[in-house]
Amino acid sequence: MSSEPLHPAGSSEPATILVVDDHEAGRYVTRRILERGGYRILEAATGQQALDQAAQLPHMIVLDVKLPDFSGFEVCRRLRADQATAGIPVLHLSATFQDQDSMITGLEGGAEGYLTQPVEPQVLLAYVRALVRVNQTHRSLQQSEQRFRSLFDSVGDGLLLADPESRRFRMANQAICDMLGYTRDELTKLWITDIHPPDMAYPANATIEDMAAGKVSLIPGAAARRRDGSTIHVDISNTLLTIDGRAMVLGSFRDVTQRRALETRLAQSDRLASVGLLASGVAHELNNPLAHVLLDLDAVGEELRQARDAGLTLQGDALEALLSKVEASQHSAQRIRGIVANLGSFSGTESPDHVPVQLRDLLTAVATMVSHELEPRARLELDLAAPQHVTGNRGRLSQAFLNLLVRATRSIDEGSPERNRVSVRSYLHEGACRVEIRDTGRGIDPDKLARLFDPFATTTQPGDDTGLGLAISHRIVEEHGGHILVASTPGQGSCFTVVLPCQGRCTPPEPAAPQPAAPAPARPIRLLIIDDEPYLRRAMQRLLTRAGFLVVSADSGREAQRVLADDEDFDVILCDLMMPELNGMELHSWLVQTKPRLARRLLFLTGGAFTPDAERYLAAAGNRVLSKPLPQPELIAAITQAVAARDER
Amino acid sequence: MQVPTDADTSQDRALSSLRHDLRTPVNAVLGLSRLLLDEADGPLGSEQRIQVQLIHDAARSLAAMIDTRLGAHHHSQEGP
Repeated sequence: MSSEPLHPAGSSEPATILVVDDHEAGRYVTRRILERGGYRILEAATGQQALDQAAQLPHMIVLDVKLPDFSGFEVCRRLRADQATAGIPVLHLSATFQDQDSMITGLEGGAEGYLTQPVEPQVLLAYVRALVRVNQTHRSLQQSEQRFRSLFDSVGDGLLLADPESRRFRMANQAICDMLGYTRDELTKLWITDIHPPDMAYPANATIEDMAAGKVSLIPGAAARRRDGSTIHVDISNTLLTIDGRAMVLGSFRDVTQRRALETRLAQSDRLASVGLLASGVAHELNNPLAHVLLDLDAVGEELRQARDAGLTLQGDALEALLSKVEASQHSAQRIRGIVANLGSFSGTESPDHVPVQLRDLLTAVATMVSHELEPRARLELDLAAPQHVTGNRGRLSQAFLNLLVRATRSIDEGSPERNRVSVRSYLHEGACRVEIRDTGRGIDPDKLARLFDPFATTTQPGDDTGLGLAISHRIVEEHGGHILVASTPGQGSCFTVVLPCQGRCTPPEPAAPQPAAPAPARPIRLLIIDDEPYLRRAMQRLLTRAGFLVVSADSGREAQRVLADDEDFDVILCDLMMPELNGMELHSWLVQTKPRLARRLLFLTGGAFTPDAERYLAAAGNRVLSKPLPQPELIAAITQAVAARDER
Repeated sequence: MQVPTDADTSQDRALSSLRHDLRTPVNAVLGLSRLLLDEADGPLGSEQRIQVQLIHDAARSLAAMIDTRLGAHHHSQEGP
């Protein structure tokens, strides 16, 4: 007798054989032979019993062909039809049907072997051993498939196997089904373009061919379309696999939609925090020059009133003293204007991306913003190289640098400003713009360095010099194609270096040089000024009348409509943008419809803040937009240019 | 070659059924006597062995007779 092991691989149990025979003596003989071979036996006398016993999943079945209820062929057919029993090998053992046709019918019907009675015991055992081996192979395949399947499905990331040749999906796990809202069967019938439609701009121009060629291994923030038509954002990392001899791309999808939303909210709250931080500093910055202007104006007003009451005409030193006070006020007012303009750079986070941004101006503005907070802690040193510019969003870049400067400032304790220093240095290095922000503060613990830019790091404590701000700065800099380098020594200070792709030197569009007063025109230039702010309107009217213009003014869009209804003879219309009743844009579109000639002569005046709608309107209208407050020479220059442009048309 | 008639085929079926009914118990006798000869469940005495061998041989000739007379292996054309 062969000593071949009878136990199924990895099991201490002997293999189980189901013996089906309606004849008791015959069944007994078969059973004894197999028991002597070491097998455990199940028995059945009818086809139905055979099917019932098969549910216990024997390793193989010895099946008589002639049974009282239905034939062995039918039993075999039904076993094959049930997925649970389809893999159990069947050996027909027939006493009656010994002809070739029956043998063929049996084997074609799904049996693995066909023997006729009387059978040599050794032959029967040899067959049974062979078929138990077949079953074991089948079982281990099934187990391996099951193990693979449960691994595949237990992965939290979505997994999709794509065939670059047919451009369809081959396999999908449970997570990707949940993520995209499809069933597994539906997904494997889809084309790649069904979830990455071409109009959704496959990120970074990555195509499935690029992935198959191994050129793209990670696609961050890719858009994917769900079954219900909604869009989610996913990071996809790709692996190349060879399956069934074909190159396949296995994409691992991680849903980052929520993370993105969270980051956006975070960015907004950070902006609010920045605003709060700035408010005190800016108030302080504004108060000094403002106090100066108020004091000077009081003094000037007082002296003029005294002169008027005394009936004196001011001359000589007295007059010079007054003038110098006015000039000092003008200087302070200019300072206020500069501070407010700086503030404007922070409001531009929704402003256009991809515009040239001058780093030197931006850094100067940002440094002004923190100077109040910095004063009790350290000296500020600026070493800004020749104008360099990067492409990006001015508001967001300002925010990035502000956060870094605030961090540097707060890493220094108050009290010894003469011993501490925060320096900002910008320079070109290997074709990139580098901005180095160095402080002599506390420094950063080495164990915190690794997670410095992680917004969700729990190592951060209130008052620590890390925090949300750094995460936001990091993200903004990355959005601009750059990165941040950090070096820090605890107790000595830190150095953050922002590296941004440089677009070279740039000459910003200079505001048109104030031109000398236009040669006296044959006819005085007629202006219409529309502004709801009475002091400003009167001041402009006075100023422009003195400069030789004929000025008509209106205090609202409605009033301007009434004026223009009777009198169209204006060379230039200066129109405020924001007015309570019929604003500047509404007036302009009224002009476009009724008096297109005049619409072209309109210049918008604005206090600075645009709504997105206003921004779109102004971009479409194409009229020049002047920012208030505008110094007299620039205002006059703008008017004469507008007249000149009109004459060219 | 004869054209089979309805009578032929029904006769075939009856013969085939009879053969199965006879072969099944004969096969059992063959199998059981073989188990005894193989001493599967304990040794046989020398006289016992002779007796079981005689049972086995008799069953074998009975099986051969059934196959010959009732046309085994094939349809009735192969019969006597």
